[in-house]
Amino acid sequence: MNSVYEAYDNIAASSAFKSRMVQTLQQKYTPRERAGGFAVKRRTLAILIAAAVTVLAIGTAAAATIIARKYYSPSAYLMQGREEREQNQSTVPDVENAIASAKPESGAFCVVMLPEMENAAELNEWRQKMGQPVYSEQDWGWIRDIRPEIEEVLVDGHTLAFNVRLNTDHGKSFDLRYRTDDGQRLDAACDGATISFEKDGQTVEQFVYAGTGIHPDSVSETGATLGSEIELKDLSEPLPTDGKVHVTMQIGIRDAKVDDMADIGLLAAITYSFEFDASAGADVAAPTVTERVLSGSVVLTETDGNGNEFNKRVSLDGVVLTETLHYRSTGVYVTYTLQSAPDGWTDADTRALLLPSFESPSHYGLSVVCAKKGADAVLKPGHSTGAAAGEYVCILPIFPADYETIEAADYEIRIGCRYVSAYNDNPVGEDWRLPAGADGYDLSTTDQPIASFALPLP
Amino acid sequence: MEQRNKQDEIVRIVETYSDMLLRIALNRMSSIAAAEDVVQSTFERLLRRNPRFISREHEKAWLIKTAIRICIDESRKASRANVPLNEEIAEAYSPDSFELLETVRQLPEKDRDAVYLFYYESYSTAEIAKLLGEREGTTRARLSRARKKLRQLLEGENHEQRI
Repeated sequence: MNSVYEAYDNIAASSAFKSRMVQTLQQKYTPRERAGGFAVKRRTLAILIAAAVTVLAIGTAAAATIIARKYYSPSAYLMQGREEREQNQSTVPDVENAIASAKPESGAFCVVMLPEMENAAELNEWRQKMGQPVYSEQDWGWIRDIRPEIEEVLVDGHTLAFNVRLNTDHGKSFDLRYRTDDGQRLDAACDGATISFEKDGQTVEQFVYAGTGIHPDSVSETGATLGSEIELKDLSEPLPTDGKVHVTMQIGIRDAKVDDMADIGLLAAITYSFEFDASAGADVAAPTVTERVLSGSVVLTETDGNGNEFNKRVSLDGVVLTETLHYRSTGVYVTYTLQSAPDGWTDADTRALLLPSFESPSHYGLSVVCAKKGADAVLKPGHSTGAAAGEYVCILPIFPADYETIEAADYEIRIGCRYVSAYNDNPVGEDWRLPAGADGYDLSTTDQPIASFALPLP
Repeated sequence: MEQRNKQDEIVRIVETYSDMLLRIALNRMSSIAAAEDVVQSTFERLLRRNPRFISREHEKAWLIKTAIRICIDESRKASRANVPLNEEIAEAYSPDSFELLETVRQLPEKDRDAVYLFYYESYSTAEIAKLLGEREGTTRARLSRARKKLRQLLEGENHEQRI
C-alpha cells in the first residue's frame, strides 16, 4: 500500500450510485408545483410560530442573539483570522478589544536546520527507517527562507493566543490535503515559548508549553498561519495588565512523512520573537466570589487507578462550592472549586464532580449553562480549558456590551452533573463498573440537575 | 424557482459529499451496499432537518458527525460480531483500499474515524476532537496509538511511504 491517503483516495461513489441518489432525493424532497405554494405557506407558518415562541421565551432581540451563541472560545475566535471574521460578519467588538497591538522584535528570528542539530545523525537514521531519504539541502533548503510574521495576539486573564504567519513560497507543503509535485508534507508547531516582562525593576522570564497547530483554511501558495494558545495559569508569575510583554517562541518544522508530532521528525527549528501590549488583557470589572451550598444526591462517574470508569451515588448535603466570575472582554469566566465537604467525601469525588462535561453524549462531569428563568433555551458555555484537577472553568459568551442589554435578574446559572447511564446502548445504573479489558466501547450519559443560582453582572 | 433551487442543491450535495461519506461509512460498515445506505440516510437526514449552516465547513462537519452517528446506530442493530469486510471492495476500488480498510477496521471505532479525518480530510486534532466530541488530548493519543498500531499491522510489507 502506497499511503493511507492514496488508499482512501481510491474509494469513490460510483456514477450510478450518485445518479440514483439524486433521483431518489429529488423525488422525495423537491416540492411539487401544485403543492409548492401550500408547502411554502406551511413552512412560513412554522417559522412564525417558532419565532413567536422564541420571543416569548427570551424577551429581547439582544438576548436572542446571546442565546444563539454556541461553542465560543477566545482561541476559536482568533482561529478565524481578521479577514475571515470580517467576511463572515462574526466580529465581536468586545472580543476585538482583547486583541493586543503587537510587533516583531528586532533580530526577530533564526532558523536551525537538521544538519546543524546535535542529534542530526539520529534524525537522519530515523528518516531512513521511515522510508524517507536523508536530509538534503536541495530538498529542504527552502525552509531557511521561511519568514514568520506576528498577525494577531489575543490576551485576557486566562488565555494568551497568537497567530504567526509563516511566509514562504512553499506554503502548500503545509496543507496535508494538497499533494505537491515533490510530495512534501510538513507540519509546524509551537514547541514552547519564553514569556518575559519587567516587574519591580527586574526582568521576569518563564518558559511554558502551548497548544498549537496550523489553521488549515489559512494555507495558501504563499504561506500558512500557525496558531498557538497558552494557559496563563501555567505562568508562575502572572502577566502584567499594562506594559510590554515579550514572547520568544520555538517553532518546530516536522516532516509529516516521518513524524509530525515527535522530535524525530524535525527538519528545522525556528526561533521567533515578538512583543505585545498587555493592557488588552485587563478584566473589565472586579470578580464576584460567591459561596454555593449544594444539597440532594447525584450519581458520579469516577475512574479507578487503571483509568476505568465506574458509577457511585454521593450525597451533596454539606458540599459547598466557591463560584468565581471574572468579567472579561472575551466573556464571563465561571470557575467552581470545592470549598468544603462533609466527612466521607473524597478527592476522587471532587475530581469527578468538577470534571468539565463537554458537548458530547459520552462525556460525564459538571454541566454549566446560563438560561432565562423559566425557559429551556440555554446559553451554552464555550469550550472549558485550563482547569486543574478539581477545578471547573468555563466561559459564558456574555460580553461587556451585553451587560446593559439584558436583565441579569431574569437569568440564572444552572449546574448539573452528567453520569454514564448506558454502555454500548445498554442502560446501566449507579452500581455500574466498566468491564475489565473493554475497548472500543460507547458510553451515553444523562444529566442530573443540581441547582440554579443568580447570574451576577457588573 | 424554489423547486429548481432545491433540485440544484440536491445535485450539489450528492456530488460534493458522496465520496467523503462513503469513505467514512466503509470504516465501520462491511459492504459497499451497507455503506451506501449510510450515505443515503445521511443525505435524507440533511434534507429532512434542513439545518442552517454558517459556512461550507460547518455543513461538512455536520455531515461527518451525522454519518458517524448513523454508522454507530446501524452497527448496533446488526450482530455485534465483527463481520469481515466484503472482498468486493478490492475489486470495486483497489487492493490497497481493501488492505487499508481491513487494517483500519482492526482499530477501535473512534480511532478509525480519527485516522480518516486526520490523514485524508486533514483536519487538525483540535477539529477532530470537536467533531468526535472529546478533548484534544484524547484525539492526539488516539492518533498516536492508531499510528503505532497501523505500523505494526502493515510492517514487513514493501511500502514506499509509511504512515
